[in-house]
Amino acid sequence: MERSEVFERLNEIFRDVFDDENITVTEETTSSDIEDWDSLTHITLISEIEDEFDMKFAMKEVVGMKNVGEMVDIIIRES
Amino acid sequence: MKKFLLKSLALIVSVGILFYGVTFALILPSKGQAFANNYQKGFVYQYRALERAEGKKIITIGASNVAFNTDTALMREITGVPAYNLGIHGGMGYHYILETALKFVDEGDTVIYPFWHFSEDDYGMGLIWLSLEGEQDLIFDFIKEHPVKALSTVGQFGLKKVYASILGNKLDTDSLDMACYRASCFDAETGNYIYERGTPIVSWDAMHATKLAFSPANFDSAFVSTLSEFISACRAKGAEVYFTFHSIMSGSLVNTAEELAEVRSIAEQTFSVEFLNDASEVTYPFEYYYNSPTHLNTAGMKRYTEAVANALVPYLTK
Amino acid sequence: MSFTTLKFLIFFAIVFWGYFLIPKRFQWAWLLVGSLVFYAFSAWWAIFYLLGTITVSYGCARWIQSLSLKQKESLVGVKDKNEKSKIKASFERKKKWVVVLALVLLVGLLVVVKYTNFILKNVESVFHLDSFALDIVMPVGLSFYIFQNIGYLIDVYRGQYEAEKNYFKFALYISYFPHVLQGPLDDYEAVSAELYGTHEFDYARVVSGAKRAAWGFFKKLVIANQISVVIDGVIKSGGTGHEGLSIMLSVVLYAFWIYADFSGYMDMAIGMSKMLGIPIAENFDSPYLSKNIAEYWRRWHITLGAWFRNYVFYSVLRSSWCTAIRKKFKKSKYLASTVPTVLALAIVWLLIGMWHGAAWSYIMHGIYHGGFIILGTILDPVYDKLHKKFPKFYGSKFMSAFRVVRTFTIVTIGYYFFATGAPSLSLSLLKGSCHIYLAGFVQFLSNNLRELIIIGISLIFLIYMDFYNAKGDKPPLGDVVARQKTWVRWTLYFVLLFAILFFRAYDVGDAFAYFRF
Repeated sequence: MERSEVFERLNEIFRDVFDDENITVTEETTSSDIEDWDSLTHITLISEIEDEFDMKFAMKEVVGMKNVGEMVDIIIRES
Repeated sequence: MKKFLLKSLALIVSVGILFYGVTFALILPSKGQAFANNYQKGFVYQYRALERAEGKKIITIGASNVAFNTDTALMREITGVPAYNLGIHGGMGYHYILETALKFVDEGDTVIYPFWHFSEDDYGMGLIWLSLEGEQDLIFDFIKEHPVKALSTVGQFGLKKVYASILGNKLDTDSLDMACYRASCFDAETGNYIYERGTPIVSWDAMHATKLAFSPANFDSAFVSTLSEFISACRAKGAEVYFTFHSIMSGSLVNTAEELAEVRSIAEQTFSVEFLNDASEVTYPFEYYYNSPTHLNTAGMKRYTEAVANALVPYLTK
Repeated sequence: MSFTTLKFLIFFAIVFWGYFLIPKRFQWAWLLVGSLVFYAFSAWWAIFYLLGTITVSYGCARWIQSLSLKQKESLVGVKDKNEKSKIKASFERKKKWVVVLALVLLVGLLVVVKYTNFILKNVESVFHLDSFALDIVMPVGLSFYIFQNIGYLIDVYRGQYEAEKNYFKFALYISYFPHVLQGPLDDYEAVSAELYGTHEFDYARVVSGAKRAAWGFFKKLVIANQISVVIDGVIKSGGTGHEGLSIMLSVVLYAFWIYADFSGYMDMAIGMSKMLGIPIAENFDSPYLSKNIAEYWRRWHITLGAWFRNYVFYSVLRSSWCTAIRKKFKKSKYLASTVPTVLALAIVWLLIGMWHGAAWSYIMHGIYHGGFIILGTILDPVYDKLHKKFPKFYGSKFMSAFRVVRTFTIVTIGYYFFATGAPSLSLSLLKGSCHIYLAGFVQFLSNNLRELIIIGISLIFLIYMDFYNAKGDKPPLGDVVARQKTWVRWTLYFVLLFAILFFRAYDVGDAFAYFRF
């Protein structure tokens, strides 16, 4: 899977979960860049991504993930 | 590293100097005292009277029971011996009273101790400083004898004085905001508490709500050793010590006669001291008290002083 | 040992100077010895609890680590995917049992020590049994270091890092004296490198840490203690003898009391640790400037919220149980995300309430805060719509101010439950707040005038600093001070120290608010 494809699909999910068509995520995007992305919505986001890419994040990844770039690395590795 | 050590020491020392400098500048001057009319001044009157005492004397020591129960003028009249009180407020702590009394005990003196227990370290610094304000010799004595206690609590008193001077409240109450709790209630020359007290100003119910009790458990090792040391020191100086009971309103003392007898006998044996009066002899009805079950009014004070003085006379003529 | 005693200051002086005088390779060991001595001062028997919990989590973490190693070895050369996942699953199961064992021991210890009497009392009242109480004295800091142990263990289980091999080094991580009694709950990964590392005496860093600690002393000895003098009688008696406005003022002051006390302690701990060269976690970030309760818990007792989020909230949400619920509500995006979140929040907040103490007051307080967060989660789409429809209004300064005031009010009302520790007293405070009598209030103010003046002036500084720090775009105040001319700095230090000595409230005792948790 190409990184750009992952980013495209991630954008869809982010826009859907946070109900904001203007979101575009990059390698550096973190939770502080998106207003509604906090601990309460994080798991929802993770679950949607897991469903979309048919993979599972390990707990340490859920907690320790620093930015979307890392997220993409894991997605590519696991799916 | 050395730089930090030196700088921080310099800072701490200079703050300390300023802090104590300001505090002592506030509390040492005898002029312009904030608490000159505070009830605690009574202790100083008692102290100064003892300083001026010459020859044989009787000293009654303790807490507020001493001030409210013992009329030194009447005691002198009955016994023929000059009498003094040392004690105005239990909150000052018996330790401070005992060590102060020892300064004035001399050969031929009589010390009367209305028996009451006290705890290991009962210095009531708040009240002590209120008394000591402006009394430079007493302040220096206290610092010499108890440097840590003095220096760790003097700041608080300095602050109190600042507030009292600016914001008023020179009584520094702790619910001592009553007319009977003023320096002017004492005779400044003799230290005798002379405020005229009539019928009780506290209701029967309120008065009876307060209970006092003696117990063999009070004789813990700290109490026994402190009081024993005091008694031995008095005797070593050629003075004699007698116990008695301070007046407790009937109905407020919860011990049975047997319990009291037991406590009395323990005290007599532990300290080798005789009791001038039994508790029952100085237990009076409600009308003789003023604002608490141990504070007698003027009529009660007369009865009590007569009881103690008359009991003492036979010992004096021995 | 309380931080604000002469005894402790002497202790710290010894630890501090010793730390920089001994050979560097012994520095961490010196800290361990110091920390154990520090803890033993609270009660000699408490050391057994501390070492016991350390041993359990150290042992179980190493066990899990060795299982992980075996797992790796067993997978070498295995090609078949099914075979691979079978091996993985069997090891995961074993590891899970080790974690369960450790949790049973650690959580069990906490429950037994802290909640036995509470459970007994409630069972007795429900079944009308004779009262039987078991007086187990809780060692200081138990709630904190048991949680720190659990966090570490779960991190190792999740594979976040390898278990610490050195027992004594691990013991230092848990028993480290700046955080052992009241937190912050430090992440092992975040703190271990510096904790075990070597440090040179760095003048600037030492001064910076000392300044922070001194400010903490001011917060505790002056602000917190003076407030305590004013409100203690009111709160402890459930407002008996006081009229409404006095009670309300007392509860508002309580909010500042607990903030000054707890954050002051943190300043002391963080400052002293900084002097040694070891950064530990921040626990407060201008909490009373939060705009909603969820934000509040990201700014108040930060490490506790983070701990519950990492180890309870996420664990619940990622459990198969919650995943099943999410699948059930597949049709509605809103329900699929909201229902599990709300359930997880309910669990978390019930536990947070209980963590604060074995009393219904704290549980109610947890439910109260949790309720607002749950409400916020449920109404999230509503707020979103409102924000989109009226962007100017919702973005306005007025709205921000309103939300801050509203949040502070909610938190303060919560303190009616939290401050007394007994529902009956809380009720009494609430009822008493309704009987307003202006003359009584004026009397209350004048009785406490000197304390209130000190408190008022100090709070101006405290609140100013919180606003300053919240802006985030300015350099830390400590640095601003450090840049001033020498005489300005020395005057500030002098004034601060003098103010601590002169305006501190005596006769209040040296205990801290969170000592009993």
